[in-house]
Amino acid sequence: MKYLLSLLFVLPAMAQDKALPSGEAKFAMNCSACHVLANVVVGPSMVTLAKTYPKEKQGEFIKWAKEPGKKNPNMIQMPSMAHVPDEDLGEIHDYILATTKGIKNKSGGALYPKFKEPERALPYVVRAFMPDSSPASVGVVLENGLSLCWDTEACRFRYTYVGDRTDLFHYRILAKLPNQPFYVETSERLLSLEPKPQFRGYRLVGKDPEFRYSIGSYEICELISAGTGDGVITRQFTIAGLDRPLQLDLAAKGVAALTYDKGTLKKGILSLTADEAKSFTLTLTKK
Amino acid sequence: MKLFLFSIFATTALSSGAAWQDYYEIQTVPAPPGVDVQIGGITTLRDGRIAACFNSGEIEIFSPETKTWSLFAQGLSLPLGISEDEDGSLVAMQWSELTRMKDTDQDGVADVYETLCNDFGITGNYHEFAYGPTRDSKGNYYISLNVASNGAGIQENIRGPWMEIGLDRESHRGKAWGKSKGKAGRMYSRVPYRGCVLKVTPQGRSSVFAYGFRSPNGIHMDNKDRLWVTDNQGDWRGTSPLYHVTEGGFYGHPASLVWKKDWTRDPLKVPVAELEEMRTPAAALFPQGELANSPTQPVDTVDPELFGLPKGELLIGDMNQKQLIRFLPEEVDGTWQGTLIPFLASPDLGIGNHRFTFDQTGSLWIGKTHMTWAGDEGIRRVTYLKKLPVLATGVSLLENGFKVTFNRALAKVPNVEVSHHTYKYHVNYGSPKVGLKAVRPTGVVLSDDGKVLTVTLPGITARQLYTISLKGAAAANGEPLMGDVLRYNVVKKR
Repeated sequence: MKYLLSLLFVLPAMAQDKALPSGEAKFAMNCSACHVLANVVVGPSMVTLAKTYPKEKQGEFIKWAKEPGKKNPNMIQMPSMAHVPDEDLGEIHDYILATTKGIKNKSGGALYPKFKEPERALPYVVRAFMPDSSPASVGVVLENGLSLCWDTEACRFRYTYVGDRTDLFHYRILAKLPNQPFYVETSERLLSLEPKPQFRGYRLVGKDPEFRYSIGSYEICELISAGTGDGVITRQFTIAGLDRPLQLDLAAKGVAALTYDKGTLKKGILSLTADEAKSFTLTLTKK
Repeated sequence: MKLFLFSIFATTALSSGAAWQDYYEIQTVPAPPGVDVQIGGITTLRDGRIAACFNSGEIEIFSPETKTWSLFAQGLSLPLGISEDEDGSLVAMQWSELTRMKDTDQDGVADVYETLCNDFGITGNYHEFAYGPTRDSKGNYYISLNVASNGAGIQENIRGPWMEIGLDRESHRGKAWGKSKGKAGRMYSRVPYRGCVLKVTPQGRSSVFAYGFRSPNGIHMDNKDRLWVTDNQGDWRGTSPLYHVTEGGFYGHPASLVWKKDWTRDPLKVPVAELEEMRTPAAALFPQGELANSPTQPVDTVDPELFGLPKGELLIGDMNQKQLIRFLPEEVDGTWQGTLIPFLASPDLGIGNHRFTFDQTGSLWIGKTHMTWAGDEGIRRVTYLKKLPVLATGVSLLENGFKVTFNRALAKVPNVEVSHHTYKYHVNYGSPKVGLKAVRPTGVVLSDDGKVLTVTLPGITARQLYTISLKGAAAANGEPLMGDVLRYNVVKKR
């Protein structure tokens, strides 16, 4: 019987719901995905909205909702609510004011915890925006504490730095390098071949990346791995289809020793015969 | 007295949104550890396993048998879609390229990351998302490229040639940007093919397929080789549209017109009337706030025995609303248009419904995302409880009205309300409803078997979105029509 009685009370209560500001449904439809009562989720809380726009500022509320700017640098900019008529925006404002009476903001911010980068097995290969390289770059984090940037647009090794940070991909900002690069290749072009290289991807040899690209009919691979000993990176090149001698412009800034297993080096240019260029290795050692 | 009260209670429960739970169960699927549980792509593999790509760059594969995940690939930049090749390779769209991943040594982990298409530009602007791939029956891939947002400028290093039409490049950088952002266009396309759909052959040759997109975060080739693309409300998008996309078409957002052959004009200076002539109207429109704010991926419905919905429809998600949306396509005079109907409107579903796949048992897998906007995280699995809801299964435009068919008989003629409106096509962000007008039906007839409702109107106006509300529609046992507001976009009249 108690159950029945409570049902009886439900009916008048439901009728009363209609007396609530009609903005409730409109708030739910247009606003609730980003604004909740007392916490920051995507946008500021309803409590903060009520404080910013008290009753007398309804006009400003409506204007802002239709043409929002960016108030808070840490939040995304609200999309315009131009599709909502002024009258409805007013009702939404009334609803926000009515609902937040006597309510205070709660601490605790974002709805979702920030993703925590896990400890990754090295070497780790990750696409990223990296400084001083094209936005289509690859970070290679080696197991010997060194990392490097390989640019898929220019199809070349760009620089290397100390650090094993793996959270390099961000689509809003450049990767944050833990240290300044200690070795940067600065030549206009690495290989004396035309035309512009085309990136073909990479394969993992063991876990080491072998980048592949083509220049005209030449197919070039560069396998990158941590060398033996501290601070060593090896770059094994293989070039298929080469029918002519090759020069590598090894102009670079920084403090590293570069050694090579084939060819002759003169004024920063490594010259290889067509036969030598089929397979050769550059070894980079941090000083 | 007891009986009376009980019947009121039962009616209340049935007419509330909670009734979807009578027909479908929504469960959370545990995600693999160590990944950002925002999902950019999810697909059912030929062997029945589910592959998902996560915002932290991994592709993981779930085995329904062992209920465990295994890592297939990693280090991708925001993969926003995934597809399986015939040989078991997986192809994912990442920020910088379309990539084919192969497991050549059969150890379950990809060892080849082959660049299939990187023939498009990147400025480093945060809004240059890349979506897809979806495939046609010949194996071609289709991808869609977001335009940049004037919420930010560009980075120093870009990929692709800078398009000289419009504001100069330096004005998009650093301090200059603060002064010039108002002149760039709300969304801009200054490196190749931003705002376009590209077609990529299985061998990796690409071509521009269609123009005029803004945030085309839903690209889907259906099982009849029709390409569907959803886009997001914003500039030049009065409300979010669904397009039937054909080769060479222009779909309304002008920034990408610069990539048309021989195009020389600043798209921001082309008269709206001229753009209006050029654009293909949307097949369907999602009223902002009511049906969707940021629609996501469409997916083909499966055998009705498995999921309850008729075959031949699309099911579409949205970032902001706690519901999915059915699309019932209809061809009128060579043009695809049709009806959107809310589906699974439920607090249990939650928001952020981004990517979808039906598994081989007919369960719908949902990958969620938020990207710091409105949304959610994680994976849900929706299982049909094999109890058929009352559904509108067909909506046809007549010369002077609509014919609605149902899968189960309605007990009586519902309360039919019809209105129509449109939206402004303009540079501004979004649009209010324009010309909203209630239309009193001149006839509402339910067939003898209760399964066909014919709504006659004084006439039909082309280029109007018709809202047909069927409040109170229910089967004889009181089960309500699930999804009782039908939104038919009349592009062409009969």
